[in-house]
Amino acid sequence: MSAFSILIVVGLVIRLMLIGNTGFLADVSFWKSWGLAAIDHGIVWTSFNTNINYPPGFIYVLWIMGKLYSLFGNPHDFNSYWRENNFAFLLVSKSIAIAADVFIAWLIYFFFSQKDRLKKLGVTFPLSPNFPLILSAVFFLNPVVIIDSALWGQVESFGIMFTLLAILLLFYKRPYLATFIFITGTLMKLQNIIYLPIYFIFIYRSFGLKTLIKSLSVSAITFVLVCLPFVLAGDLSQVLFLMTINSDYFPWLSLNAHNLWWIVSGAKGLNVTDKITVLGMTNAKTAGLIIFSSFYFLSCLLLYLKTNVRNFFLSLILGIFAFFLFTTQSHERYSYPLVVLMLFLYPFLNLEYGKFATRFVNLKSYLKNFFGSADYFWLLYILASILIFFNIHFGLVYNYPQNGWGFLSQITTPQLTIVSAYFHIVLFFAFFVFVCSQISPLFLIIPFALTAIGLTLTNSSLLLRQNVSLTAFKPIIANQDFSILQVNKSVNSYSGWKSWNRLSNNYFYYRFGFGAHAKSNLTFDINKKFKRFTADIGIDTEAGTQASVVFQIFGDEKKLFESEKMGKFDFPKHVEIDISGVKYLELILDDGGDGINNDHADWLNPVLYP
Amino acid sequence: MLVNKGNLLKLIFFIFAVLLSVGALYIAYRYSLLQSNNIILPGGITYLGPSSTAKPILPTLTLKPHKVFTAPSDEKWVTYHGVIYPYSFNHPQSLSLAVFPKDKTDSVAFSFDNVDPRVNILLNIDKISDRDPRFSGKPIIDYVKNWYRYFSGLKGVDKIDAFQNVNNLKGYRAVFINDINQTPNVDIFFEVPGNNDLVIHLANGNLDPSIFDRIVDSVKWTPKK
Repeated sequence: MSAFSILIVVGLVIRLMLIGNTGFLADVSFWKSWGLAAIDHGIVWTSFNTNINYPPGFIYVLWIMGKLYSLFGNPHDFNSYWRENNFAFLLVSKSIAIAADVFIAWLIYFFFSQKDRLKKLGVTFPLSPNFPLILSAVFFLNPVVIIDSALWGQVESFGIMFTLLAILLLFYKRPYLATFIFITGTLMKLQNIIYLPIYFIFIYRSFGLKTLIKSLSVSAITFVLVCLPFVLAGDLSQVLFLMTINSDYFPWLSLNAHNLWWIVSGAKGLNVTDKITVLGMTNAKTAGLIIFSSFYFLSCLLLYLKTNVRNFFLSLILGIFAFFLFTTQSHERYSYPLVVLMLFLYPFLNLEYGKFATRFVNLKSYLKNFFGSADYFWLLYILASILIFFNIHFGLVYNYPQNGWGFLSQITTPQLTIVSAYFHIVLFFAFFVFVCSQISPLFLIIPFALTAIGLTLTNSSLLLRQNVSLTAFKPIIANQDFSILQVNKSVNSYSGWKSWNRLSNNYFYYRFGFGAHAKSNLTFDINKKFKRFTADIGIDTEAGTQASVVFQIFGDEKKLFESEKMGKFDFPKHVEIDISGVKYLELILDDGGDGINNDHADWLNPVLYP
Repeated sequence: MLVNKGNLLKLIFFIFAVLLSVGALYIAYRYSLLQSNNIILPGGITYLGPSSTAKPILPTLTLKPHKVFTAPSDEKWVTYHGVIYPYSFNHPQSLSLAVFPKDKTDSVAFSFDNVDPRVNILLNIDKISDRDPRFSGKPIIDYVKNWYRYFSGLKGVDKIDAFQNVNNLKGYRAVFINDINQTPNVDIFFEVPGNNDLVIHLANGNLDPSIFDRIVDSVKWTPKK
């Protein structure tokens, strides 16, 4: 019996005791539905006939959940299966993540017990015999890890497990097996895709171009293997659908993530669309992607210029943290990998760790060397653990107050969540101390310069006083009573590429515009940057003869224009209105008082003049 | 000795670990029993189990009598509170309620006689401007008179009576005519104090009339001050 075994038993007992908490009810009930569909009808059927928004590989996991549950109870017994406190399902669903927790704890213990290999990989400072156990305990008993798997019932550890295993296999010179596992992990948990460029840069720099090309081939083969049921069914396009469905699935500034956008939204990230214009004519989503990409580029550059294990982990940390902090639509759990990756980074930093008692004898010298010390690292680690735990707990109690910890729920205020968001940003920049010891601090200018260039380019029309098509803006509100809004296509194009049609009125064709359907409301945040708006309006050629609509334009809720009732055979009418000082431009289609049948109506060539 | 000391220690540790784990699981199980046991269904269109394999029943001009939920007069009644909106009502403890996460209408269904709760909605909040903006800002009675138009199985109004429940909520008791000229259901529409865009809607479904009436009488709207 080893100390590691005792650690596993202690950690496991804590987790098992928390299983009875019903956690995040929505996640659990969706998993019940999708797991039941998977065991009743198979993987492909589930993807087509449920509202699943997870990548295809995760349907296997749901199938396992369904099958395991069948050992304890009947999933077709409606009254027991769908109860929120269905203990057997809670046990089964949370077991997946708990098993992953155990595996990662073992992986840490195993890997950091390999002293000779660690030395070859760049660990120079002497490791105490208890070091692997301590590191493993810091992970396994970390409240962040426990709340995510045992209380919430989410599978962050299951996802990062694949990435970690793949990374360690690279250190054992097994790039192809590593790639197989890495790509499998990406198809199980989509967030792993963030690591993909960094992962392949490391392969290229460590093993060469030939190995990179072979690894990319392995990736393609793995993709086909994992998606084999879809390949056999001839429905590979559904895989693409599952991999992309989450883009704009929750179009909000922040999905409870305490990040930059949480601050911008004033702690109301889930109530503010990320299509709001935040700078010139750039919306929050685009601005977020530009900032994220800029910092991600720096993390890739760091690894490319100085390829070693230390920088590999550091790049992964910066990449995932930038994703959490700067993209909109970020979930509160996206920063979870930090508490794992930081532990793998630590030994490779080779930081000084003096005796505790002698630390403050020479305070001046201590402070001088603080940023290169182990104390600095552990300060960051503790801060990261507190912030991430607070954020995940907030996400849980925001939806299900009864399932969190009462004391913490009571002290959680909007102000405190904003403070948490600021601290997250401070923490991100605190990692740059480790970057500066590898590459020149001048490189830190790059992400800021790239961000400035990106934002300037997206505002170039405005800066050059050029006309802008309104189609360059994403509407902050887009409601209509039939189909969904089509940009530069007629409304019938919604049913797929085979039905794509150009915008037209009585066979007058237009390249740009919106294909809409009464009754509709399109609202754009044009940010008071334009003076004039012009467009042609009319019924689309594809509409039936009974079509009739009234076009209305509002600026900040004030009516600026209303057309006469227009029918199928009316030629397009030109509209030109003054929109000086208007922030919200609303384009309204009314049904003309005779119902919405056939009302396919277009805003053609809508142009804003600065 | 059949077992050496090292192995014996391992065996004791293993037994101890198993006992601890079983104990932890038992604690978790007991804790789960203390948690709410509502039926929670996932939102949106998704899979809840196989459809009945019974042959489809051809439409007839009469409705089959269905089982009616009832409860003994001495049964304990408990209070349910809306998740989004500040409404509440009392119901018999044995009436198994189902809610739908992220449901904007904050609806409550009940599970009874193997009927899918999604077609057994007991209460929901109707937002008039979402359902039909033409009735925004108009008297609620106008909305109630036209409510049947939103459902393909209904074709007209049989009668609408105004009333007030014990909690001073002003309501309308409506009976609508279905496509086969029958009036099997009662729909209740309560006005929401201070908000004429919202209506609390209740449907009797297959509840015993006395139970339904008592639920209707207990409906309250208590916004936070």
